[in-house]
Amino acid sequence: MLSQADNQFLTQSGKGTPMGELLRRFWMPALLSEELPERDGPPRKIKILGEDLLAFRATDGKVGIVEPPPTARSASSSRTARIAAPASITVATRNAACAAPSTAGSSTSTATASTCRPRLRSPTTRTRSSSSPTRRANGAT
Amino acid sequence: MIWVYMGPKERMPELPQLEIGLVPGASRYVTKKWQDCNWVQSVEGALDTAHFSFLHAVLAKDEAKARAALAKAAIADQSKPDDRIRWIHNDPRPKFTILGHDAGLLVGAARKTDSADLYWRISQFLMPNHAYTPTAFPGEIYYGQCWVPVDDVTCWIYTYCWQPDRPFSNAERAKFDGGFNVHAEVDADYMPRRNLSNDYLIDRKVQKTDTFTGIEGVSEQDAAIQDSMGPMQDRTREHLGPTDVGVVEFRKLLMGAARALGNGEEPKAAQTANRYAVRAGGWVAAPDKDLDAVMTQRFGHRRGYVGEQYGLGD
Repeated sequence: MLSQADNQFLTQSGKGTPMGELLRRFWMPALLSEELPERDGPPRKIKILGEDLLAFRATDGKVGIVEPPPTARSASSSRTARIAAPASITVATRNAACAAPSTAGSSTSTATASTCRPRLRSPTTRTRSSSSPTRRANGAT
Repeated sequence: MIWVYMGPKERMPELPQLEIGLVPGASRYVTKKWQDCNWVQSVEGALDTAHFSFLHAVLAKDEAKARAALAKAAIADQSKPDDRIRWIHNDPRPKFTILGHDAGLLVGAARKTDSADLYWRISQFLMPNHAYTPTAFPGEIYYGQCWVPVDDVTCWIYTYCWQPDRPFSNAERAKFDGGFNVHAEVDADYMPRRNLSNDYLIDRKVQKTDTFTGIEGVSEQDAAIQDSMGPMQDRTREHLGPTDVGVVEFRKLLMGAARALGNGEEPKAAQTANRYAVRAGGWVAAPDKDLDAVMTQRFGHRRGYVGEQYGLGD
């Protein structure tokens, strides 16, 4: 049995929560490779640990994951795309500028990182319901 | 799989050396599924391996029906009853032993067999969100799951398996796609076809006669019971027992690491990528063998480490 406070401590994964910060010290699966099948194909909206992100496969086949600007695109929040290798296991950091390739059997990260901007948006909570959460979570219609 | 790191740039660790990333591409298979609950209660389901005696039980006496019910079993890869299924059924109170290592926890559960020997089912929890199933005998397929919170009341579960000794056949891949073991049967958007919104297509008649739940698929049976605790389990109302010791140790590890991080201490597991190269599985051992000895017999290493086979060092 846990206290209410401990239960929240254990289960909350948003940015700034103790468990959320712990989870953010580790690599997370973000997508299956098949979800970004085409070079220059449509990007996919994803949500991980309460954060809305955008994943894409660039012209050279590499994958990136960026944080979309909180509102409509503006000059101050334009995204730069840098990139992860098109391997069967691919890794990408949240700010596409810090992306790392890996291949099966040698998953050593070789990330070259650049700016990881702080974000100002508060995590959104999706209401729990029925019909097709995947679509909403994933932008995959 | 595409992985993302969302933490501070200067803390970015190496990718964990999970064996699924070490075997050739043809020897692994990954699927994913949506789940309508907080990720932690779903992980806890994977670590409470006593539940196999109940939740996944096949009740049918008729052999053809039992075979059909077992066709998507998590007990093993076979599609017919065997000794292990009987032992699991006959002993719903396995004795647990938990051992820690750099990357996580070993959760061992020993059941009685037909002789004095014990039937061990040993899971791995790997920080912060992977768990391996406890079933594989040597030569069988290894399965694991990774829980990724979408928010605090839903998660993606990446369900994967690998076979260190050989590539998967197309027939096996088709079987995984159709729902098998931890792999759920999902639609094009990775939503399980049997899910919360349709009561997992529970068949009350089947539940009376053939299976414990009346729900088809081990993955779906797990989801049904985990979702049924609510979007976020209220642990102020739980009553843990002796078979929940794996759950308790998991919470201590995770909450301890989160508290330590709050005090400026980085999680050790993130810095020991090689120690993720471990296996979990089953074994039958003499009753005087402890989990250390059982692991050494089964895997050649006290914690199931196989990294030396991949040049990751001892």
